[in-house]
Amino acid sequence: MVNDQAQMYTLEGFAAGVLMLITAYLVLGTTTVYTPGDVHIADMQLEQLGSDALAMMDTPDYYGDTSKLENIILGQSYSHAWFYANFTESLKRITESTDTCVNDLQYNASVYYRTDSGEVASYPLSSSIRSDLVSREPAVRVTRWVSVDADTANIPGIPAADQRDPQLLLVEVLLWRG
Amino acid sequence: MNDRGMLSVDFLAGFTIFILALIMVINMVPGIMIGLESQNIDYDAVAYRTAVILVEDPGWPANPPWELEDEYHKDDIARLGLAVSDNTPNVLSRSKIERFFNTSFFTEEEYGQKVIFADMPYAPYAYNIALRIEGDPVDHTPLGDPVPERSYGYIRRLVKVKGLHSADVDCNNSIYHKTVSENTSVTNTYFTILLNYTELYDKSIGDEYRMDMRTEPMEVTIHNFKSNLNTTDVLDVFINNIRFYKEGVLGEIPFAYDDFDNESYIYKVNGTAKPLDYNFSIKNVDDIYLKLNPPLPFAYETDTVLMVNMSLRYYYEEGQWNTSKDYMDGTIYYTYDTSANSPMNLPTLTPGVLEVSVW
Repeated sequence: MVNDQAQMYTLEGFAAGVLMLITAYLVLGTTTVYTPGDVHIADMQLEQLGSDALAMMDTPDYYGDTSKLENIILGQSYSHAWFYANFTESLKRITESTDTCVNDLQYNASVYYRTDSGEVASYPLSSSIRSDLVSREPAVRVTRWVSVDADTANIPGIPAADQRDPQLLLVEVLLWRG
Repeated sequence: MNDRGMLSVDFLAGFTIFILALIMVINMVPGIMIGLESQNIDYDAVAYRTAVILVEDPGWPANPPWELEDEYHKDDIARLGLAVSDNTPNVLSRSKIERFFNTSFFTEEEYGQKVIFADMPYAPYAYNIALRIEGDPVDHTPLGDPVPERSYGYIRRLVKVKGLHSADVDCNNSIYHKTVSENTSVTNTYFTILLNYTELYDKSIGDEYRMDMRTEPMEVTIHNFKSNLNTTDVLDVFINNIRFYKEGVLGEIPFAYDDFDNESYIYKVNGTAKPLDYNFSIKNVDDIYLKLNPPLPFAYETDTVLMVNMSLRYYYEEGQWNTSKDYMDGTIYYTYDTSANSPMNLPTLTPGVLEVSVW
């Protein structure tokens, strides 16, 4: 005995199938991954600023003069204070044409050098990290190769056995807003 | 058989159309958002690109540089960069800055074409380009419109500005004092400014410290002339003229010495402008100033020695022929010498900041 119980009407079933397939296809197709558009731009601006600041500190003002960055590295116990003063002054420099500039920047600077045995070691140069800091924004990394002409072969922070003249150092600064 | 629990075809068709329309609308929403987002990114990219052109590029043409183009050859300028050279990113040239911020020379459309690279005149960008040089007396008014309250593309670049070089010759300096004991009532002497281009274009000196006579002016000031004149002996002293000579070539270089256009040189005696041909008494003159604007004669020949001769004539008291007579004479070496006796002021770099906003 043939009847139509539990059977689908051909046209309606087909339409419903198509509908489900189209819906699934479109829903999957519309899935977007949201990336905050501003973040990498802000990173780029910060990276450029930090890179410029290091480059300008490493450019002497007079022909034959020693750069500020080189003096800072050779600066005995003043290294941290000199770097802090020069670097933060550079970061805060604006033209006054724009007044919306956010200048609350923090940094942590280290110096990398090659030891006598050929390994890479580092020592901290300067930092603006506050003691009450509990969390921070993602940081950008800027670096500058500095050739230090130390006649006395005395760069504070590097053990005597690893001193060379001239010495090539990598100054690395982590920079973030906060 | 009955039709309970079954959909009608009409309902199914209507519902399908509705669902399709709904899905299409939802599908369009992220597209609208992306449109908003991408515009913002675009402005930041334009600001970044503009700052890179200004700070890291010397502009085009580079040789002779664009800042030396006059009003009639302005169309030859393809790109406005401020860097001293390709090798000196972030070090800006003073003469390029002066020309760039001269709004009576460039129009707003030209800034759009030559530095912002907007699709002129169809899609211009609004912009604000500001430069501040530490402790600089010259105030460079920012180019473009005031920065808006709403969002805009922005970049800040730290720079150094290369200063000009000059020589300050003090007549107190004994190296320019000469004494003659001849039986003469007249002595002709020369103050010579010597420019050895081989020495000046020394490749071991970076572009940021180099004295480049192709693009930068030469400035010499002679100070305290009157106060060092021995007035008991000297009746009068005349400056005959100023002439250019090239080492190894006889005779003076052909030049518009009588021209008074301030384009190729500025020659001032006690602050009053004169042509190089002028013959006059400088007995009561304290300061003599000479500025040769770039490019200097033969500046493109790297093995040339250029001499700028300042010819002086001293007249002495007739009755004192047997006493020694003082006069000023000597060579001013326009070089990188910074020893105590050298009159040179070498170019120095001054920190500054450049901000570019685009919207």
